[in-house]
Amino acid sequence: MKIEFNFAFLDENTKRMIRRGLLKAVAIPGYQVPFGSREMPLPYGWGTGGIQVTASVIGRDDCLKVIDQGADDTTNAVNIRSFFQKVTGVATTTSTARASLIQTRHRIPETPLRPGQIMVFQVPEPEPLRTLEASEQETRTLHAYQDYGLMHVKLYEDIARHGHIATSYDYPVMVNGRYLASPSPIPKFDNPKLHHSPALLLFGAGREKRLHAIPPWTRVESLAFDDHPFEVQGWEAPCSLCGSRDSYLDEIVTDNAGSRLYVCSDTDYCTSRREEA
Amino acid sequence: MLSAAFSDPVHDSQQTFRAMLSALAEPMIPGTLPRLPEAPATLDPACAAILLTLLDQQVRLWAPDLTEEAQRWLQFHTAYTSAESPEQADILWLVLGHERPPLARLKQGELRFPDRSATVVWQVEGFTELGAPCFEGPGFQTPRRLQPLGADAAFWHEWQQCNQHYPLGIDMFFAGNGQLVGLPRSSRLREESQACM
Repeated sequence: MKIEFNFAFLDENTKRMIRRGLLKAVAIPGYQVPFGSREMPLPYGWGTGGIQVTASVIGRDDCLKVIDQGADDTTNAVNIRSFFQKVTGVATTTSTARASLIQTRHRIPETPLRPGQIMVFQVPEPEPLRTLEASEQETRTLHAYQDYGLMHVKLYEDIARHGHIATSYDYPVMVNGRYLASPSPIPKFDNPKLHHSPALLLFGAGREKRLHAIPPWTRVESLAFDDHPFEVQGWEAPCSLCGSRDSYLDEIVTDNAGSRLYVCSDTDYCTSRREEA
Repeated sequence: MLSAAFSDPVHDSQQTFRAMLSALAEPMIPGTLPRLPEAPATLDPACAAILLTLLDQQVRLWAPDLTEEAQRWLQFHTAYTSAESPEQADILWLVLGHERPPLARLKQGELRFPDRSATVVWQVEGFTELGAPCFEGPGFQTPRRLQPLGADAAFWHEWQQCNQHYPLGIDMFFAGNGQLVGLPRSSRLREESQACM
């Protein structure tokens, strides 16, 4: 028996509800819009929020790229890509430049995004204040009054304890000077790419049932102090495969003696650089 | 007899949504609605496309200009709920220049839930840069000048007033003749003393 799906799996009512939510999310950059997250054919934590956003946005003429930690060939990325192939039949690609729609888990590609592209982020915890304040009632009030002192205290405690801000991923950002937002667990290396991005950035949290967005050309500042400015990670060695000194590198242990290799986390970027060379 | 709406509802509403998403993400750039439905005479097909994409039984519409025929058509295709007053409406369809409720009466959301606010779909004849105010904010790479035909200084003053308590406010689409323009509450009028474009 051949199982027929509605285009992009979700029913039209659900898509409409998510679409209305996305429009409000774009109109209020950084604000978390509640939505009725549906049960998806994979568990929470595997990108159900991102999948629902992609399903509501995707059309027949889109070209979809899916990455997990920068890689096109990891389990999560391969599965989500083949899921959309099955339920939409759209073209897929691993090339950042060719994609019109990119769903991502925890990275922004190294190749600069272009106007008209849409990035969909899978978000485990959309509330940047959640580890500091467990109550949703309370965090909502803090956002309402733009009361973000808690987060500054947290970063200050980092400095007091470690001598520097130790947060290295999911580094909190101020969007359009109004809302404190979680950029999802991307490394802080990627935070500068959020600022004045030419592409539209959409965030979906399935378990937490929240959507938020950063429109193109929007001011996005990573929190910092005057005497402890925001800094991104750097590496002493270049990528062992393509030689890039500008990309985010993964550390790979290669033997029992503890030898290490550093390679680009963005597989498309690394491969295309090696092909050019 | 009722006329048809989108010829391919699933894909036509997806295409319309993408045009709306782009319009709101980069405000005040005229975009094209790629799929226009058959619609009753008084309802511009561009506005009809937007309403078909947004409306269902979960949202309340305020549309004083809907003729009885258009109302039946829209009701049949979307099953929307009518709002009892403009204050209650989630979505409004208004014809720019016709009699309408003041924007200050529309839902602007609450500080904890600014998304619980109205979206206005304005039916307009077209757009012009002539005499238009200059806008800036999220989605503007550089400030831009544009306005729908029929908008005047009083209209922009009213709009500014009702969005002054950001993040509270209302979001708008202007549509007509196959085109649409978005204007989210996050957009700001640029001081006239500063250069535009």
